[in-house]
Parts: sequence; C-alpha cells; structure tokens
Amino acid sequence: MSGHKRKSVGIKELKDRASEIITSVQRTGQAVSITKNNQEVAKIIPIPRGPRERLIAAGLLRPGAQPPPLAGLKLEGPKMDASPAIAGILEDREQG
Amino acid sequence: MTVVYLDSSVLVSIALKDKRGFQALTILGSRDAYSSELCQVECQSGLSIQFATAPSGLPTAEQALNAVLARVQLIQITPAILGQARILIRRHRVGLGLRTLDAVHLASCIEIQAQLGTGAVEYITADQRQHSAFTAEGFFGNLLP
Repeated sequence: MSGHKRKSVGIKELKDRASEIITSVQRTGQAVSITKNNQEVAKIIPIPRGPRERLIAAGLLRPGAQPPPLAGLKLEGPKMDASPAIAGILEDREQG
Repeated sequence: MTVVYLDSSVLVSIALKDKRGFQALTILGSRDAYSSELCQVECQSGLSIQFATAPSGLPTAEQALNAVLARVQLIQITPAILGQARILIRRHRVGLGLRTLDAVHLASCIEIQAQLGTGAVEYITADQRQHSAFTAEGFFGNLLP
C-alpha cells in the first residue's frame, strides 16, 4: 500500500505492514480492503469519531456534507408571534 | 460538547423570528442542531395554520423554514426509533398523556443518546407535555414559555 491512492492490500502485505496500514486508516479515514486471491474478503474501516459520523454509521443520519451551523443564519422578513403555528403543531399532536 | 435537539415548535419559532426562536438560538449557541425528519411536516402544518387567514405570507415563511431546516441535522425515522416510540407510548401514554408524534421525537433523542452517550443530548421545546416526557426519561433541556 503506498500513499492514499491504493485502498486494498493482500494478506501477506497486511501481515508485513499491519501497523502502517492501520495508522493510514486512522489518519485518512479511508477503509482498506483485504484481498485473497485477488478477491476482496474483508475490510478495515475507521471507527467514526465525531457525533455526526457516529450517527451516520448508526443509520440515524443520511451521509452527506455537514449542514452549516444554525447560529449563523440570517433571516429576512418581519418578526412574528409564532403562537398560532405552535398551537397548530400541538393540535396535531393532540390527535395522536 | 453536547448536541441540541430542537422540537418543531422551536424550529417554526426560529423561522418566524418569534422571541422563542431567539431564545432557542441563544441557548443553542455554536452547538449542532438536530431534530427528527418528522419536523418538516409538523412545521409545514404550523405555518399553514399561521397563515390560514393571510396566505400571501406563506411562501416567504416557507423559504425561511427551508433555510432553517437546511442547517438542522435531521434524524431518520428508523425501525429502531419506531420500536423505541412504542415502548415510550406504553410507558407514558396514560400517566403523562404522551402522544404519538411526541414519542417519535423523544425516541429520536434516546437513539441519539444511545450512540453519543448519556448526557450528550439536550433538548429545547415549547411543548409542555413533551417537556414532561423528556424530563421523565432523564433528559436535560429547556421549555420555552
């Protein structure tokens, strides 16, 4: 395995360079496939670290780019009393 | 750092620039905002009620809501969440009056917590009954007046 381009290794190479390969998975976040007789038979995958990555791995979030923070949002338009909208949402829940 | 779960009642308040929305943004700070994908339908329902007598304002409000939702990480309604919601209904339907949609929100938080650890999720809501259910399940959060 050299650099980040190659994402599969044979079993002999895995034995010889296990530490280097695992360090690469940790560093790049990219999985490495293990091949036997030129067939992929296993995979070394990184354990997700951040909340979003962990929730994606658990199937709770769809993969994709992380949304920008809500704190930075600037909205146009007047300020409104949202009480009717909130009441509508609570009314829906009342039916459930 | 904790993540923050925003109820639909809060998201629609942010979109309409209601004072509760500003309160929620202050509490949220720079933390990541999460909600159930269910919120998209609930918020639309809220806006439709809000503009029932003045529908010309609805498109602008929908644009604002879309902008808000684009910055929220939406939790999918998975089989695990539906199963958890059933457990919550069995536990709290009679005592707390927990409703189906509240249970889906609460179950979403429980599944987030299962992945991120106890105490990793806070909530913000304007729904008193939902607040009671969150509290009963051991979550820390804020009920907006």
